[in-house]
Amino acid sequence: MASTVSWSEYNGATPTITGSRTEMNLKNIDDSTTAYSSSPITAGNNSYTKYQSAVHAGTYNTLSSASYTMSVAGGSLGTGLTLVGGVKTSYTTPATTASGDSTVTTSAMTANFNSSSTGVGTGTSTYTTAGGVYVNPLRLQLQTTTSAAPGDTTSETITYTWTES
Amino acid sequence: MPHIEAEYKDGFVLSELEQDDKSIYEEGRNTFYDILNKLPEADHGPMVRLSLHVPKQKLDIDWTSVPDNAKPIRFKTYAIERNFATGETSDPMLQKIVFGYEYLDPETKMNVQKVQEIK
Repeated sequence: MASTVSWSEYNGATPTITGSRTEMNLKNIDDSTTAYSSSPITAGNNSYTKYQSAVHAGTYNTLSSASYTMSVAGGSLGTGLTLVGGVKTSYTTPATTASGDSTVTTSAMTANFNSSSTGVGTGTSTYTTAGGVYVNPLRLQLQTTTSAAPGDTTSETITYTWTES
Repeated sequence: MPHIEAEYKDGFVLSELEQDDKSIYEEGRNTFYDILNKLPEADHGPMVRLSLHVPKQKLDIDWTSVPDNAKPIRFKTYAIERNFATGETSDPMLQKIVFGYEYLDPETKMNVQKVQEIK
């Protein structure tokens, strides 16, 4: 079997880390509980930035070559919608101000393995310590213009890839 | 399911499949960790065979014929896909396995890898 992977989200200033997250919808609130439909992003505004990490557990010898890759059904989110983001080694409180990250493409975004308690930090590309470990988080933000159509965006998929020995 | 096994001089076979990929020596580690660190050798003698089982194929390395300083190599690359909205997440999908060994050539002082990549 492979090591197991779950997802954790970072919210607030400290941050608070919530494990076993089951979705990563971008919305108009910084929390891991409110349904996106209750805090929609209005056209012309940005979502709160969202940080989520892959988290490994289980047994392994080493972990290496972690990366996140995004894909969007149909290749585009649509008019007035831009997804920006990147792998982060530091953390700032999620906000709706433009994050300054680049537009997300289908290129792999490489990440490091950091520690057993947080993915925020420089980390290491090859992790040799036993036990659970957080991967650097991926920070995403949906930026919109007033020409964005109302309703849900097209489906997005994130692929997380790693190598273990 | 692809898995490795190692056989030792006294006939003991350490199987990744039978151990559910858990080390029998150290918490949090896997079977490959035991093999790489020669942990069974104190009780069972030196490794004589290292094998990788993949569907319809078994790759064997006669460990008695590799250089003395050889170390096993086995890397598995996985991917999981996750839908943003629903959170629906795939099981880990095995993309490739790199299997073989490496050793330091005493003459060239270069690290030599003898590996196969199985997709």
